[in-house]
Amino acid sequence: MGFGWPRLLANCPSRLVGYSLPRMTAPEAKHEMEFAGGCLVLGPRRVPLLCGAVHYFRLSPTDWSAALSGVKDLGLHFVDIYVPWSVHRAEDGRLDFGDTDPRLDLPRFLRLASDQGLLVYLRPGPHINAELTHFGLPSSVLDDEACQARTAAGNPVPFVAPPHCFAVPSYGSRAFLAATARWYRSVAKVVKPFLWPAGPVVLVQVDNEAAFYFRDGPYDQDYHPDSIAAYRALLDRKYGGLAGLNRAYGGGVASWREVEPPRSFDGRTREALRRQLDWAESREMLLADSLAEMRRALTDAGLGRLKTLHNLPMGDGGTPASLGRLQHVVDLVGADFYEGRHQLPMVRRRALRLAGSSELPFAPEIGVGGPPWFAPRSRNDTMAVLLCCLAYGVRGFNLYMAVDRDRWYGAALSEGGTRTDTGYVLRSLLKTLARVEFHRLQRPASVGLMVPHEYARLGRATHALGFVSPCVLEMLGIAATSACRQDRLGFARPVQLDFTDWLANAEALLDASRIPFVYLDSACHPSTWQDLAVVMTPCYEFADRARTADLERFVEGGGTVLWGPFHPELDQNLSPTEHPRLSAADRFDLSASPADRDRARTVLAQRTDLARSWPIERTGPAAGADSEALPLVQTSVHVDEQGPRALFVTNFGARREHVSVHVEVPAVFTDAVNGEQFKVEDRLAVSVREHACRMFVIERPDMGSPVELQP
Amino acid sequence: MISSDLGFHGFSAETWTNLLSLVGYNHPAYSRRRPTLVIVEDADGAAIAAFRTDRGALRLAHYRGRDELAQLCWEQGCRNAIVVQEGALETLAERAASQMPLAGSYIQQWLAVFAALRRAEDEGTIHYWPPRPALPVPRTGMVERAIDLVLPRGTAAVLAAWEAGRLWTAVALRRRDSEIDTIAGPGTIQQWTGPLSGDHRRDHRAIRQAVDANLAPMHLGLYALRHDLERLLRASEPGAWLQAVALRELVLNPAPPYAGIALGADAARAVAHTTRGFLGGLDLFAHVEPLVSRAREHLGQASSMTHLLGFNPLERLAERLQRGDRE
Repeated sequence: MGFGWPRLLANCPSRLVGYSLPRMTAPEAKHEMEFAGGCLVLGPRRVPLLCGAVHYFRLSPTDWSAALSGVKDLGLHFVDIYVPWSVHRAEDGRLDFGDTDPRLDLPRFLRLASDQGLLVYLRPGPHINAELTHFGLPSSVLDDEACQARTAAGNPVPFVAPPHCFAVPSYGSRAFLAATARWYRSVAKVVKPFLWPAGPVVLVQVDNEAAFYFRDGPYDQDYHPDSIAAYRALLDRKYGGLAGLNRAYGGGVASWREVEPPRSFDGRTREALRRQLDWAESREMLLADSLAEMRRALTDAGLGRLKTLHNLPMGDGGTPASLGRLQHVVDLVGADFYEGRHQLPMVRRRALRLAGSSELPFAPEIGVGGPPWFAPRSRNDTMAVLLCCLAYGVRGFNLYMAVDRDRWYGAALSEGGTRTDTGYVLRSLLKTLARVEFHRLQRPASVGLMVPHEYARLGRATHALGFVSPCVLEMLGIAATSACRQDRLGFARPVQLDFTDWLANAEALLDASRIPFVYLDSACHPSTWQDLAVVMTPCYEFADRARTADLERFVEGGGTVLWGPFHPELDQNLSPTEHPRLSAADRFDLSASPADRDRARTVLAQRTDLARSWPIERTGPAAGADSEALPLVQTSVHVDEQGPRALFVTNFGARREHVSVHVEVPAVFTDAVNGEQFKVEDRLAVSVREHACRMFVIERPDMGSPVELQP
Repeated sequence: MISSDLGFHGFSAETWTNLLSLVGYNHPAYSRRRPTLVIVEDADGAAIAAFRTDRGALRLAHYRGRDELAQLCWEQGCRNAIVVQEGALETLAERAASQMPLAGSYIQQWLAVFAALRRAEDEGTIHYWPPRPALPVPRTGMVERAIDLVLPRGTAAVLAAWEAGRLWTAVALRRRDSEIDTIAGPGTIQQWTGPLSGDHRRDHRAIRQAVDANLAPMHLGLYALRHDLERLLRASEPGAWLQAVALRELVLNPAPPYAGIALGADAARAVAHTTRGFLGGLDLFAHVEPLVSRAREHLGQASSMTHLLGFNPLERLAERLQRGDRE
C-alpha cells in the first residue's frame, strides 16, 4: 500500500488495557467517561462498543439471568435495554417498575446485568418502536390532542404501523416534551443507584430514530401550533425580525401571526424557493431542538453524567435529522442497519457516512433476524450486512436482537440464553474481533466525499411524492433525491438531482481507481475531516458560506479540494455573497462532462500519497469477463501500527465470484467466521458467494506468535 | 385483521423466510424482479419527477403522457408503471387521516387507507399500467365475515410443510374475537407436540392434538411436503388439489365444510377439463358450475369468500405466484 499506516494511526493508543469487566460493586478510582480509540473509556478501562439487545419486559424473570449470561458468552460487553413507557405505565396511570409485575422489575434486571459484568446501554424513549403497539408511547400521550403532530390541513398524523395505527406525537409540542421530562424523571429515580461507577449503566439514548415516525415528507408534518411557533422563531433569528423577513420573501406581512409555513411546494421564484428552504430547515431544527430538550431533561433528572446517544434510522440520507446536525446535540450518533444482503451497496454507503462523520462509527442496531412486518431477513442477510458495515468502517455495534422475544425471529440466543445457529456464527466472529482488537484498527482512507447539507435540504424541499418520503426511498435502496422535481428552479441545472449524480460519479471514479474513501456530512465539525488529503464536493450557484470557508481552510492546511461544476455566488439562503475562490484547476463537472471525469481520474491516479485498496481480479470461469463491471467485488484492508491486520472481500453482485487478491504481505489469512485458512505469498484465491462479505484475519510471521495452519 | 396485542413467536430466520417463500417472497430472487417506473405529473400531464425503483431518478425528456406507458416501460425495462399527479399523495394522506378511526380495529384503519387510495384511482390522480383489476374495497363487516368463513372466532388454523424428514416451516394462527391474536411458528408448535416423526401423514394428528390443547380448537389444518405445497399453491390445472388429497400428498385435518366444497368444485372442474378433449370441445363444466355454485351457497356456510369479497383471494395468489415465477 502506498501510504504509511503509522502516521494514520498516530492517535491510536499503543497499548490497550484488557477489557474483561469485573463485577461493578465498588466505585472506580477515576470516573472519567469518554469515547476514544474505538472504545468507551471508563477510568482505566477501554470497552469496545459491542452490545446485545435484551427486552427484559418480554422475558420471564426466571430467564433473565440465563439470557444475560448468554449475552456475555457471545463476547458482548453491553446489554442494550429499552425502557418502554407504555409498558411500565399501569392502567391507573401509576408507573410500575416491578412493584406489581415482576417482568417490570428494572432494578433487579440491572443488578443481574452488573453481576454478569455487563455494562448497560439504557434506552428510555420516549419513542422506542421495539415492535410494541404504538411504539411504546402511552395512550395518555397519544390521545392528547396537545401532543399530536398535525398535517398541513390540521389533521392528526396517523402512522400505519402494525398491529395498530396511531397518531404520532409532535416533536415541537411543549405538552409532549413536558410529559417526556416527567417520564425521564421517573426512570431516573429507578436507575440512579445503578449509574456507573457504582453500577453498570453508562450509556443513555435520547429518543429513537428521530425521523417524524417515517412520515417525513416535506409537507407531511408538522403543523402543530408549537412547531409553527418554532418555525417563526427561526425566521426571526435568521432575518433579524419582520422587516428582514419581508425583504427576503418580498412580502409585506404586518405581524408574525400572519407568517404561515408553506403547505405544498411553490418555489417558482427565488423568494418563494427561499421560503420552501426555510421550512425544510425548520424541520431539521425541530428534530435537533427537540432531542436537545430531551437531553436537558435527562440531565435535569440526574442522568447527565451518562454518555448520550442517538440512532438514525435506515434511510438516514433522506431524513431532516442528519448525523452532522445531531452530533451537536448528543455525544454519539449512530445509524441502524436492517437492510437485506442484496442492498449491500447502500449498506456500504451508510457505513462510509458513519466512518467519515463520526468519532466512533457505531451501529446502535444491526438487525439479527427481524420483525415479522419487515422484508424477511435470513442469517445470510444478518452476516452480510454486519460484515459489510465492519468492512467500511463501523467499529462498534449492537446486535438487535441478541435474545429472542415476542414479535421477532432469528435472534442470536433463545429466550433462555441458548445459542441459535446465528448465535454460533456471531460468537465465532466476535471472538475474532476480540482477538485482533478490531475496535482499534483503522481503514486507511485519505479521500472524503462531502455531501453538502444545503443541497440535501433542497432535495427534501422539492420531493414530489408526499409521504413516500426521501427517507423511504433510501430505505428502498435508491437515492433519497430520486423523486425530486426536475425543474431547474432558476439555476443552470436541477441542483437537487445533479449533486447526487456528481457524488455518484465521484464514487465510481474512486472505486475504479481503488482509492478508499469516506462520506462526509458537511454539517459535521470540520475537525472530523481535516486529516484527509483530498475532499471532493459538488458546488453550484449557491452554497453554505460556512462550508466553503471550511474548504478554504482545508486547502490552506495543505489539503486538496476537487469541486464543481460551478463557483457559488449565493449563500445557503440564496442571498448574494462572496465565497472563497477555490483552485480553477481542481474544478470538475463530474455529473455532465465525460472529459472532466477522465481528467479527474488522471488527477487521482497521479496522487501517489493516497491509500489504495488491494487489487483484485476474477478467476475461474468468469475470468477476464466483465472487467468493467468491477468493482462488484471489492477489498477493504484494516491496519494497526504494524500493518495490515484484516482484509474484507465484499461481493456486491448477484452471482458467486472466484477472485484472486494481490496481497502486499505474505501471511496466513484466516476466515473470521468459519476459520478457513490460506497461506499466501502474493495472491489470495477465494470464492465469495453473491451479496456477501468475508473477513480474513492477517497473521504474518513477523508478528511475534508463530502462525500454525489448522489441519 | 391482527389484534393490537398480537403475539408472534416460535420462528427462526430460516422458518420465517421459508414460510414467506410459500406465498411468493422468494428472497433474494424477489429483488431481481424487474423494477417499477414511477412518474409524477403536474396538472397539465407533464412529467415533473420520475424514477425507477431499482436505480433512482430518471430524466424523461420526451414524456408523452399515460397513453404511451406501455412503450415507456418496455424502453426502460420496467414491468409496470405508476403515475401520480402532483399533490395526489398529500390529498390521499389527508383523506386517510381525516377518515381513520384511531380507536378502531386495524382492519378499519387499513380500509380507510384503501378507500382513500381507491378514490384517488377513481379520480385518475393515481394511475397504474398495466391497469389493475378493479377489486372492490370491502366493508369491515364483509372482511370479518370472510375471515369467519376461514377461521371462525375462537378457533385455530395450521399450515405445516416438511422437507427431508423435518418440519421445514409451520404456522399456527388463533382468532380471538374479530382479530388474529397469535401467530406461532415451528419452535412453539414443537414445544407443544414434543418430537415429531418427520412424516406429515403421521404428524398431523400430534399437531392437531397439541394445538387443540395449547392454543384453541382447530378449524383447519393443512399438512404437506414442501415441494407439494409449493406446486399446489401455483397450480392452475383443475383437480390438482383433489388429487393431492386423494394421494395423501396433502392432508387436511380438520377439514371444514368449505374445504370439501372447494375440493368438490375442483373435481367437477377437473372432470369437465378432461372430458372436453374427447367430447369435441364441449365444456361440461359450463353446465356443472351453476350447480356447484348453488351447492356451495347452501352447504355449510351461507356464502363463500368469493361472494363476500367479490374476488377469490386464492386464485389471485396463484396468479401472482405464477407471474412471479415467470418473471
